[in-house]
Amino acid sequence: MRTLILLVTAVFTAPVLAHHAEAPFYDMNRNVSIKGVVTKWQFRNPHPFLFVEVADEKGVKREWTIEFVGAVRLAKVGWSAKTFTPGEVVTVSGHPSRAPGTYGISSASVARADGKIIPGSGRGGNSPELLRGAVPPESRGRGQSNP
Amino acid sequence: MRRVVRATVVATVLLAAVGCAPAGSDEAAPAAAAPAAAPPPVNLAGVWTRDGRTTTPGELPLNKRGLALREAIDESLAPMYDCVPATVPHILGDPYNFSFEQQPDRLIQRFEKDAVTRTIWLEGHGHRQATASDYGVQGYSMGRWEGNTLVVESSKFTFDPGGLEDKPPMVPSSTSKRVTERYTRAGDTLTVEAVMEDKLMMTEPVTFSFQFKPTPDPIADWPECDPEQSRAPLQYLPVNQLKYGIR
Repeated sequence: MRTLILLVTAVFTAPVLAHHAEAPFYDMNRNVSIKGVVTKWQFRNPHPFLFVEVADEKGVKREWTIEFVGAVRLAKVGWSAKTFTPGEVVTVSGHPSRAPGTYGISSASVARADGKIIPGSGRGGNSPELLRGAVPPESRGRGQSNP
Repeated sequence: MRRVVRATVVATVLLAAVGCAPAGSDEAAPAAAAPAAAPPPVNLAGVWTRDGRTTTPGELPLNKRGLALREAIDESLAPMYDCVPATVPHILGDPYNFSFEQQPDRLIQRFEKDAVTRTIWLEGHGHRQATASDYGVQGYSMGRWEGNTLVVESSKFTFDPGGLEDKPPMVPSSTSKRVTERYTRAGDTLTVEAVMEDKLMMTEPVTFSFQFKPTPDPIADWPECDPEQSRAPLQYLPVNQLKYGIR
């Protein structure tokens, strides 16, 4: 009976997600980290994007696109259209985009040039909700949430 | 515009395929006499934020039509990528606040998410029942008080490729989708039970539940949704994951 109750609870507590899910677009089993120069910051709904130019060891430059959680959620913890400035150096960690030949990252964290991680720049322990002391979305759903 | 046309064509084709044309039997009911306004039994006014546990159905009890359409709908067809707002019950589970404004004959519910505003018309105040002209993304909502519980019944939802499940694998809703929400306040806890049914797609209703608490925060402004930015992540979908060669 106890087992049955546990199973029933598991079935009926599947999480709720918001806007689009993360997993179809990003490989949740892989992590990447890049360091580069901000070229553009689009603080728009539904998801803000940061464009970062990264040079490889041969000096070849490539632009990566970093996706964040919803703009409204970020605005609640102080993010704005001025959060990033073109020309500044950032280090980004997160899950890489799935499609071959694309250079996208679903942000887990973004650090300034001094190495300090910007609060709210990711999910899990770095989500805007945890920063605000609110219920994090990850606790409500199936995970893989990218609202 | 091309995307809108495409989405419309897809919806039309799918609807035709399953023969779920909108019900046309609804007639405008004669307006009931409006009694004197009484104060609501419970104060729901203010801004509410997520709190506590959410429960959602695990596997939807889809019938053959629902199963077939689930297979036919691909992530790239989701209306959200064209900035189409989320609907109940799923919008209640998103990590955004909502507010109630209580008027004598109606409640105005504003969601931060997608800047959705909907009117809940309270029964007994002369408001008409839903008619065939009331179909819309958010449907048409009538409300009533059952003791201290606000009961909201919504119908007249337009066909929505993600109307029963808006995350992969998406499940569309037909024009038979109905949602009954029950808002019950106990102190500073607002419990919402939402029953979703769609007789053309599911064999039985499913139930969601959410909890909220009051917050002093105002409803956040929702800057305009940028469709190009909204669709940008679709480039990251591996082609081999798409169904039926949609791309």
